[in-house]
Amino acid sequence: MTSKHLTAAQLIGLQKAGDVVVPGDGELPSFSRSGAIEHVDRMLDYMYETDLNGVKALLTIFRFLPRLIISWIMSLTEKGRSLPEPLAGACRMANLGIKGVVMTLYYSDLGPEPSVLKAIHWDSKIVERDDDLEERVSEAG
Amino acid sequence: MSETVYDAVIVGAGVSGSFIADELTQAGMSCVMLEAGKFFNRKTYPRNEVDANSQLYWGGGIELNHDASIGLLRPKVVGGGSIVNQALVDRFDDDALDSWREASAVPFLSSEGLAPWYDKAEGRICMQNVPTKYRNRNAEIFRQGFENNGYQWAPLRRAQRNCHYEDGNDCIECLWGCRIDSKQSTPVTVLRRALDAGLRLVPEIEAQGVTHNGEIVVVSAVSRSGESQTFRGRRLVLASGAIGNSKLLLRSGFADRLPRLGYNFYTHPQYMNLGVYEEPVNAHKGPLQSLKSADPGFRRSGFKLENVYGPPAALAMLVPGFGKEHQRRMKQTSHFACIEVAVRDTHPGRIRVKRNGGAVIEKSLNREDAARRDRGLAAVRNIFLSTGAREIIPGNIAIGLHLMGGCNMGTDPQRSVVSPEFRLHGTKNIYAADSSIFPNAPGINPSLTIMALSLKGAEQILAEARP
Repeated sequence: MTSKHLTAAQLIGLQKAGDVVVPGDGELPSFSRSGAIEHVDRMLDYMYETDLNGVKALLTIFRFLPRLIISWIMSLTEKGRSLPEPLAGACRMANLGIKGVVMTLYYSDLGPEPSVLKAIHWDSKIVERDDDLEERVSEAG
Repeated sequence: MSETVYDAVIVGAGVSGSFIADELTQAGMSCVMLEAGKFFNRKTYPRNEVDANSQLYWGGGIELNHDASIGLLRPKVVGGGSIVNQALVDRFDDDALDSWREASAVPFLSSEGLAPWYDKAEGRICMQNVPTKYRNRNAEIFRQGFENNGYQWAPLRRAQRNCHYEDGNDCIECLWGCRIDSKQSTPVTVLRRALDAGLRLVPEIEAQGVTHNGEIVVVSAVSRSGESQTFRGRRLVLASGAIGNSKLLLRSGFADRLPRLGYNFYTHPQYMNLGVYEEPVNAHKGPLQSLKSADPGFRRSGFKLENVYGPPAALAMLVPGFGKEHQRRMKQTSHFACIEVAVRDTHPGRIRVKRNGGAVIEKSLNREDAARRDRGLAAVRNIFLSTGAREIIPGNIAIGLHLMGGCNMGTDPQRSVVSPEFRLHGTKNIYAADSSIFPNAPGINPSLTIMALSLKGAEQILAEARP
């Protein structure tokens, strides 16, 4: 796949980080198997440039790191909240950036064969009725 | 460049801009409304979290404060907060308004002074309580926990028309825009009337600067495609909220004459806490929020509790950690109950702009605000434990949903930005009546009060426009 915002190396970095954050199990697919990465531009199109640059820098580094080290970095960003500032702030930012991108893509369940929401028993719905729409709008207006 | 001179240029199509546009256009004024976000309707609202977060909020979903300790959710969509909020419509109490009057010296900021405007605002929307029989188990845990601990609760009044619960509708879907037009978002209420009365709405354009020569205000703006446009008006209405208004004015050089511009910024920091139960809770089913805390002790202690929930990706951010253990917990989401602590923050932040025009939000919790949060978390813990939760996942991410101040109202130009006549101090035709003018944090959901202030502000504009 290609992205408007990420290089091929950064996409590999995202895939690796994604599989560390969401490795998959018998019921839930891994991040890479979910197909979520195909939709990354739907998110990055709207991100502030400074935030995007931070995410891209991390993904570039992840491209060259083994998963064990990526996992260690993610653990550090989780636990780093208790470090003194500004280290704690940097950890929070990195954690929100990577986890935010991965979790939002994954739990939006946009893959070719959606299965994530079913596996977590998420079945919210709205029944859209057309018959009373005009009446509602005219009353509200 | 457009040479049209409008009676009013309105920057921001959220709650305040929509209510003011309605009043001005009904009175025959020509108005143009600029909005950075898109104009959706019930058929086109986003259907998943990626698109909702990206297309309904600034920053692609979330903005962070200076040290990434608070995530700010700032709507960027025609209809603003009325599209994405949970439609809570409470009047402010004496405690909030007395505090405002003391901070601002503005006499009408009182329950009596605002009553006619609250009445008028309530007349513009439908309001309902959720019938008891449709409350979900998340609400029942909230109620039972309150009663077990001797806390007071009350039914919640919501701006909605008919959610058709009998169809099995799950209102959590409407956090991305209500697909059955039950939520009283402004595109189905006052904004629709304004458009019918001739309002020109320009979505997907961001105001960049304001200049004025006394009589005419000029707003320069850039569309999402990068096209520059200029809009001229006999008056300007700032309605893009605490950060939007402050940023625009700071970029435009108003700080020289308005020394408090960007100060007095509050967010009601909120912490969502999860209780994990043996039996399914299914907090995502049915009405999202039906009850509220009404405990005088909570009010005195500086917090309130909300019976909320979030969609899956949001929950995934709340659940700590990652990897297989995180996935295991995510498969328990149907067993989660959720209660949010909302802090009435006392320590103001400040909005600044960087050289590139972007906003920097300096905001943190001081010791008092942290104590208020901790008292709220203790109450949540009591509720969860008394109702059989087998595990509690405390919220460790602060979210700012109610973005207030930056252009606070007051009588003294050295201590405030907006006058009691809703005009920027020292100007005669630049107005604001949205949450940016709040003098401090009320500790109550602001939507209805924004409507009321906007209606009063609109009347002021019309009165000053009369020959």
